[in-house]
Amino acid sequence: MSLTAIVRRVQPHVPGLIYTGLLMLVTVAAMNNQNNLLFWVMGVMVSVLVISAGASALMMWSFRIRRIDPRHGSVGEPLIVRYALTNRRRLISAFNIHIQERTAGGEAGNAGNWRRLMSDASAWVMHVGPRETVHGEAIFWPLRRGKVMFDRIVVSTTFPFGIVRKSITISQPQHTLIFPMLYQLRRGVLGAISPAGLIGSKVAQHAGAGDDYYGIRELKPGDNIRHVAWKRSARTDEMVVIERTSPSPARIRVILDLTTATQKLHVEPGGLAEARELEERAISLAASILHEADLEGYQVGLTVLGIDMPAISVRRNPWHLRRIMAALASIDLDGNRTPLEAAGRGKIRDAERASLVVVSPDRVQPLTGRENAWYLTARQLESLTVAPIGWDASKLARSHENEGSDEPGGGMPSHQPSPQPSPPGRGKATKGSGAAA
Amino acid sequence: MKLLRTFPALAFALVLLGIAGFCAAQESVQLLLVAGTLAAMSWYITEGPRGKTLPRWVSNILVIGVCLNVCVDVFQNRQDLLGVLGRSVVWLTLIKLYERRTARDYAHLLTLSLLLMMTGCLKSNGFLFGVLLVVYAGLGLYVLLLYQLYAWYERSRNARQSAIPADYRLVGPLKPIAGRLAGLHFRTQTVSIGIVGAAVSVLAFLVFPRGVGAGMLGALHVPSSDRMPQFSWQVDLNVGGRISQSRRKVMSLQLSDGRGRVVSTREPLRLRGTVLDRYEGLGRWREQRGRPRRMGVAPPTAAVLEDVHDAGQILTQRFDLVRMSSGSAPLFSVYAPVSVETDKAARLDYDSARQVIKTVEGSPRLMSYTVYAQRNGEEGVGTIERGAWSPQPPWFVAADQDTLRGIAETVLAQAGVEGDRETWQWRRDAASALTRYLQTTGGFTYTTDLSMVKRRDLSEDPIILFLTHSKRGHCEFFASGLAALCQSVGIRARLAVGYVAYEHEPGLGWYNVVESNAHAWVEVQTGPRYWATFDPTPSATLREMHASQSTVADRLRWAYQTFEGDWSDTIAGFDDTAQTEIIENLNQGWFSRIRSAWDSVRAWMERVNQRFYYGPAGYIWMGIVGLALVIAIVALVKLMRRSMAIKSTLQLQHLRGREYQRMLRQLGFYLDMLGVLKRNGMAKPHWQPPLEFARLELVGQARAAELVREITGVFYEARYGRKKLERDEVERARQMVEELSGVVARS
Repeated sequence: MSLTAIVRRVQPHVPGLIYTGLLMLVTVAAMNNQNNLLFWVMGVMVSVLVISAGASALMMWSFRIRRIDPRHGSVGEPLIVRYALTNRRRLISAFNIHIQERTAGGEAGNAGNWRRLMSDASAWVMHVGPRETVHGEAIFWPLRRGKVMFDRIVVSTTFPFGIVRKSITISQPQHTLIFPMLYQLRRGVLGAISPAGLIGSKVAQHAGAGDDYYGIRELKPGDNIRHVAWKRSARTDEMVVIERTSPSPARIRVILDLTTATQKLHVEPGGLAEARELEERAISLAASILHEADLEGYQVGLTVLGIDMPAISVRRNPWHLRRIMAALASIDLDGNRTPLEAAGRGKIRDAERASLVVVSPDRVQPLTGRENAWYLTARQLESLTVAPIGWDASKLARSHENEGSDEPGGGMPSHQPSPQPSPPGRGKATKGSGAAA
Repeated sequence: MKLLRTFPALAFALVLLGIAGFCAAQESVQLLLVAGTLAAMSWYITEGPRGKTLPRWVSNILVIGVCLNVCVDVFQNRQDLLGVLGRSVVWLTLIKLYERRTARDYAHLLTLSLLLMMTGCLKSNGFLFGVLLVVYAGLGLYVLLLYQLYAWYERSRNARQSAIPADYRLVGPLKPIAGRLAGLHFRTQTVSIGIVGAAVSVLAFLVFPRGVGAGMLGALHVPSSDRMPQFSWQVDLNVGGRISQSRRKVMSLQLSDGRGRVVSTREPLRLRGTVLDRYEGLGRWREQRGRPRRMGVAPPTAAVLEDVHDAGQILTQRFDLVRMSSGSAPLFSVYAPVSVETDKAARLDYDSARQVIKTVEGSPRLMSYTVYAQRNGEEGVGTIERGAWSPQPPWFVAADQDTLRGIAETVLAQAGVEGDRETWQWRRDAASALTRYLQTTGGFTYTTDLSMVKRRDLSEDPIILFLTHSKRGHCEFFASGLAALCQSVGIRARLAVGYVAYEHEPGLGWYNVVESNAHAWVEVQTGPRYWATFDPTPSATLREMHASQSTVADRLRWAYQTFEGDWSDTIAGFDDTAQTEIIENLNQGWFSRIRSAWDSVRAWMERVNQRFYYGPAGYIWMGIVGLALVIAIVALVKLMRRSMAIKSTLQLQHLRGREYQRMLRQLGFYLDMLGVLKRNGMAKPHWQPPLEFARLELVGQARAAELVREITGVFYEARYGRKKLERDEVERARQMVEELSGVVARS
């Protein structure tokens, strides 16, 4: 990490050069005519040049900026990166502040370069008063999931006259995860996977806030007086309360099957990009099922086969879902794959009594002893989902119809910035069939 | 946001101002009416939710039409290329006003309006245009600054909107992010920039050398007019534009006598500017081509122009003049001068034949000079010496001498002017008789409307026509008639041109001279060196015309003219001479101020020394006290700067009272630690906590990292734990900072 915190610079600017040329023209005209009004104009133009350099330098001299950690983003959803701008000047306000992210190693940069995963964006702040902190925001649109590295922030202004651009560059390395694209599942998909539903499905082995009777215990400070078992207390002359059962929601474990290397996926010859796209869709499908299940109240867990990643147990809380999404975001598809036989061993426990959903990129490979699991492939993404979350499904459908098969998805972001693959065929979810749809 | 909403209206106002400015420079009311109306209408047509704008293809066709029109205009007005340029820019501006307006279009409009004002600058030096230019500069500054914000807002909004995928449904509007009181801060900053800009531009205007590179692009040089209104060095009876009814002020003047007393007379003051003694025929009077004597006048010495025969008969006329415009003008006087004295050094041209004085470099607006004249004791008596005149003077070439002589002889016979024509007395009497003839008995009528006077053919002389047929005309006709009649009978006479001052302000002692006071009369030689004044214009008519009292409108107009005069004197007429004067004055001013300040200090020291009876040792004591004061001030400044730095770095702004003072006193070591790190190229970023910094950045320097952690720990305890540090603890922290300095310097 570099310690060079601030670099101040006056950058060459095309309008500035044009203005200088104009100033020279006016000077020549004034000298030729000896016209005092033109001399005045020339004087004003000189003062504009001087003020441009001076004012922007004064504004930016005591300026401070800090990127506020955006935590994470998702493909297809805006990633709002906020910046705290502090003007430490006592009297001078800063106007027209432009904030841009720059990469450390040139534009193409290293593997963690954010430009590989997101489109460029910038923030603009109209005014920061003296001794004031204002939060500006830049909206990035992530194109791929993964880990992005932010490095340098360039803050610049061309105020007051747009002639001179004064900038300061601040180094603040930071990384952020981009989660896979999330889709809204079609109605009934989740119910089909876990037909028992949520209500009365199971009861946990400990007390909770359910309706059924679980047991009695002594009254403790803080217990609600409604829970006091009055008859029992009267009989035993000891205050006791009734405990209720704790409902245990239905459980879903998603198994993401990435045991097959990208090159060995069943796609048309030379379709490496299509194969990679299938893998990304598989990850998105898994993420979408997990996200929707979590919203519906299911406990969810994740197992990734073929990648060296520990299984995530079945639970339900916001932190847990973020952990799952972070795991999916950080999957490196270029890494080594473990064969199916070795990958599945010991990763799925029978005791957790969860519905299993196996998601594969191209075709179903049944897991040994898990024939009752649901087997889905990435090619079924369109049939299982409505639209990416936050997107207008009707507009998407219209754009599908209008654009035909050449450009699937219309404005929908792809998993890859490269040319789009042909749309996957619509399939049917299969249970225990052991064959691809 | 409110700030940005004002931009379109202000930009529109600026464009209108640009159009008005060019029309003022062009002095074209028609263009102003047409272009101004079309421009004003564009606001109502294009703005608002129901506004209609021109499609691009229509505006492109119109632009092509303007280009074709420019080609035609150039052929028709080759002498006025700037006017052609300005007019085409006006039409282009109008087209742009009817188009859809994005930030880019606004930039085009602002550029076009700037181009209009620049063209105006090249075309005009006028006060009205100058006022518009000043207003334009002020408004333009505000609009330009606002444009920066507006353009970036639009650019940012467009970029953000274009980045949003078409089918994404959560599209929020972009609002500009601004701190508190953005509008107030913007206006304050604009005013500050305006003040600094004005100061720098004045400096650049004053300092830029004048005269360098003048005329290097000769074809584009536009000569400026510096003619004095309604004064000309010649008279043409066929044109008649000099005599008008205009109440436009020409000058104010105060006349004093030799003792400095202000003089006001009941009779009108005839201010003699020049004398025309050569009649070229067909109504044209010119100056006789002589060789004027050039002389330098340096106050307080007066330049002698003529020999003075009787020093006791010298009349002193001191003039204080405030002219409405600078430029070429004569030195006005009531009587013909024999010597002259000016308040400032000047070079003069004196024509002894006509007794007329001119300034060589032109006259400034404010002038003070004294003209000495010979009283009428010089008027001739007795017979005229041989050679003093010739019956057919070579400088008079009027057409029909016989007709003129016939009229003159008839008039003289009817008036009974007889006697020896070789005497000065006869000449006076004859001139008086001819004057009376023109004034009263001849049936002549004064008028400035000459539309009824028709010349029968182009060869007919206007003077003959006036004397024989029309008998209608203004003062130049009357004066020309008298001069011609006098010349026809051998009396030497010439035309005097200038002003007649009637309007006197008794309280102030000033005469106001307006354009309608322009006048011509006749000087007749009635002595060897004396020319008597005869005014043949009917005096009653003359008094009635010139004596009209000024109205409120006149006074307002004169006030405007005064500003206009100041403008052209200080701004438009600023040249290398004025530049040199200012620099010399400034130099002298600074030197004198420094000298006087030093003298005062020295006098004060002497007084103090004398008061305490210290003798020479007193100065040593005062030096020591002064040095101690300087050291104390420097120390105080350093202390204040350190306090400010601690307050800022440790964010103590919200603390007050003893706690604030304690932290200011005790926690300076943390600032020193940051300084040590910064000096050694390891500045802690603002966003990074110090312990994190020590952990990540000082990996290879275990001792330095440990010291930073310890110092930070002490700092945290005191700053956030509110612990009151003991003196030993503070001292220990300072020692750690010193040790840190040594450690990082070694590494």
